[in-house]
Amino acid sequence: MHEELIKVFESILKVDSISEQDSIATIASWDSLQHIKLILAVEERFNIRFEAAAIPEITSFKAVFGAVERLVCPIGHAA
Amino acid sequence: MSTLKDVFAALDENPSISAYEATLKKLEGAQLEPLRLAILTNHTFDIQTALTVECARHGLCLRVYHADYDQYRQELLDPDAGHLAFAPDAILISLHLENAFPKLSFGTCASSQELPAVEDWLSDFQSVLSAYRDKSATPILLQNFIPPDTDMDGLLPTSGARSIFSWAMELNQGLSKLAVSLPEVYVVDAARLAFESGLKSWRDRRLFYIAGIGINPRKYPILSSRVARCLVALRHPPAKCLVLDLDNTVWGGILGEVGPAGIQCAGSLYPANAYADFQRALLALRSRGILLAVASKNDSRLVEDAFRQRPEMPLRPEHVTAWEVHWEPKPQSLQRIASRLNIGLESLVFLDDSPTEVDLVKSSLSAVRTYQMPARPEVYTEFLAQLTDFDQLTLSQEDRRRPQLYKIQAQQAELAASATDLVSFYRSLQTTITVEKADESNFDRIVQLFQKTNQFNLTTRRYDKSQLMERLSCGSELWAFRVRDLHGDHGIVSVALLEFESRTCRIDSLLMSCRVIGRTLETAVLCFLENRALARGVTQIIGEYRATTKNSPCHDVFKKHGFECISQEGDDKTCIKNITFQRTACPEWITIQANVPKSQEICCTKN
Repeated sequence: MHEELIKVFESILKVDSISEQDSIATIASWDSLQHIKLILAVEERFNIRFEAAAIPEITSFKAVFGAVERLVCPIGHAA
Repeated sequence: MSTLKDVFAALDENPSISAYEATLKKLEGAQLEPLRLAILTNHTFDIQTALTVECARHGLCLRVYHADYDQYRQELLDPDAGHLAFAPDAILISLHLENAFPKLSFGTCASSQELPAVEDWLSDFQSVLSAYRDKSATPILLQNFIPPDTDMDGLLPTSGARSIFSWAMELNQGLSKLAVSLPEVYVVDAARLAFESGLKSWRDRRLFYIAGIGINPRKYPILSSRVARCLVALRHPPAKCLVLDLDNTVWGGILGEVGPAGIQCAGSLYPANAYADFQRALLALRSRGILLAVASKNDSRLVEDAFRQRPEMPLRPEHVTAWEVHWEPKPQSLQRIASRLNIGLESLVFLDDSPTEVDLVKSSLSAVRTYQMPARPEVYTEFLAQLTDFDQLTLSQEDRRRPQLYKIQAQQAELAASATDLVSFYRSLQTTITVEKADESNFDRIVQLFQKTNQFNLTTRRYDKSQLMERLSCGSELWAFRVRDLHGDHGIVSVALLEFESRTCRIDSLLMSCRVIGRTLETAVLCFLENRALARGVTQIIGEYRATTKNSPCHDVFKKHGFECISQEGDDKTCIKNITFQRTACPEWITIQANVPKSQEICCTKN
C-alpha cells in the first residue's frame, strides 16, 4: 500500500521521489488545486472516500497514508 | 517512443486521474496542430489536464489560458483583459448553476419559494456576450448548466408544480437560443452528457463546499472529450459521404443466398427491425447533407430486385448518390465514388461488416475513414451515432440540399454527354449568377467555402470568420456568387476577396465549389470583378496563384483571361492586367445580376 501511495503522489505532483517527511510545505507543485487532484487520485486508487472535513487536513504524506490506512483496514487499525 | 495510438489505448484501459497525468507527460513532443484556448469560469474548474489529453487524441495541441476564479464577466468586458493578449483561437465558458444564482441551492423548494427570473439573467448574459462580439470574433463554446439533482419539492411536482429541475432546463433552452442569436457562439451540451452518464455523479458536494468545485473532476474526461470534438469541428470540415456495404450492413443476410424476400430489412421482428432502424438513421444523416453511397460485392440486378421487391425497406434507391455494385475490389469502388462526386478520399467514411474488406481498405486507402460494423445489428444505430467524422457545429441551407444538388450534377453530366457541342451545352443550362455582398445571411456559407474549397481555389487562404470580418473592416470587399440554372438553385458556389490600394486591386482569394467547375463561370466572375474594380477607379488588377497539391484545375485562369505573368516561383505565379482598355467579357450563355446597392451598380458587358 505504501509503495502504491508513493506512485500516486509522484504521478500527480510530478516529482521524482517522495519521502515520509514530505508535505504541502516541502513540495512546490503541491498547491490547493493539485491537492484536490491528489486526494481524488488516492481515492480512486484505493477505492475509498474521504470525509469533507478530512480533505483540507491531510496535507502531508504521513497524514494521507494514515487516513488511507484507517479507511482500507479499519479493524486492523483499531487493533 | 510509443505511438499516440498506443498511448491512448493504455489510457482507455485504465482512465484514472493518475493515468491522465501520465498521458500528459507521454504527449510531450508529439506532432499536433496547435490551438489556443481561453477558459473563463465562475467556479473552480481544473480541467486542463483532461482537456489537453482529449484534444491530443483528436490531433490538437492545446495551449490554455485559465482566467482567475469567477472573472468571466471581467474577462469579456475589460478591454485589457488577460485573455485578449493571449490571442486565443477559441474561448470556453463554463458556468456553474449554484454560483450563477447564489441564492439558489439544493435546498430550494421551487413549488413554494421564489426562483430567480431566468429572463433577467439571460438578458444580462446576452449583453455581456454581445459587447464582446462587438470587439472580437473569437468563437465561443458555452458549456450549459448541469441541472440540480436534489431539491426540496418532494412529490409536489407530481401535481404540475414547477420543479427546480425544469427551471434549470428552461435556463439551458434560453442559453441555446442566445447562442443561435450571436455569431460564432456554440453550446456544449453538458446537461445532456450528465443525463447520459448519471446526473448524480456530476456533483461532488464535498468538493463544492470546501473548494468551490462545481463539476465533479471525475467527469472532466467525458466533458473534455465533447469540448475537443467541438474544437475539431471549429477547425475541420466534416466527412461528406458515407459509403456502405449492403449484406449484413444495410440489411441482414446475404442477398445472393437468401434472395430479396429473405433479407432482414423491415417489419417488427428482430433482427429486421434493428436493420430498419439503422436505415432510418442513414436517412437522418442524409437530411443533414451527408451523401450516401453503396460499395457492395453483389449482382447488381439482384440488388435492384431487392429494392423493388421490398418497398417497405426505409432506404430507397433514390437516396443513394453513387453505386458500386459488382465483384471488383472495394478500394477501386471507393476511389471511383470519390472521383465521381469530386471529393477527396478523406471525405469518405466506409462501413462494412467484413473484417477482410475493412483491412483491405484500411491498408490500401488509409485516407478513407474505415470502420467495421459491430457484431450485432441491435447496436448499429448507436454505433453510427457515436462517429465523430460527421461533426459540424452549424448546418447551412447548402448542406441540407447537398444530396439534391449532386443529383442535379449527375443530370448535367448526362446533358453534357448528349449535347453535340460545348456551346450548345452551356446554352442549354440557362445559367444565371446573382452577385451578393457578404452579409449576415450568407457569411456562414462564405466561411464554409473558404474552409473547404480545394480544387478551384487560387490562393487557398483558409480565412475564418473573424479574419474575414477584420479584412472587411479594413476596406476589403467580399463578394459571393449564387448560381441558378435549369436544374435549380445551386446556392452560393463562389467567393472573391478583393483588396484595394490606390489604383490597384488585388484578388486576395478567388474560389469556386468543385460542383460547378467546367462551365465557364470563372469568366463571368472575373468579368464582374474587373468591372467592380473599374467602378472604384482602379486601373490594374493583380492576381495570384499559389499552387497546392489539389488546385491544379485553376492554374491557368489568369492567363486565359488576359493577365500577364510578372513573377513566378516554382508553380506559384503573380499576374497583372491593365483593365483600362481590356476587360473580360461575360459569356453570352451566362446572365449576371448584381444584388448590390444602386450607387454601386455595375454592368457587365456581353460579347
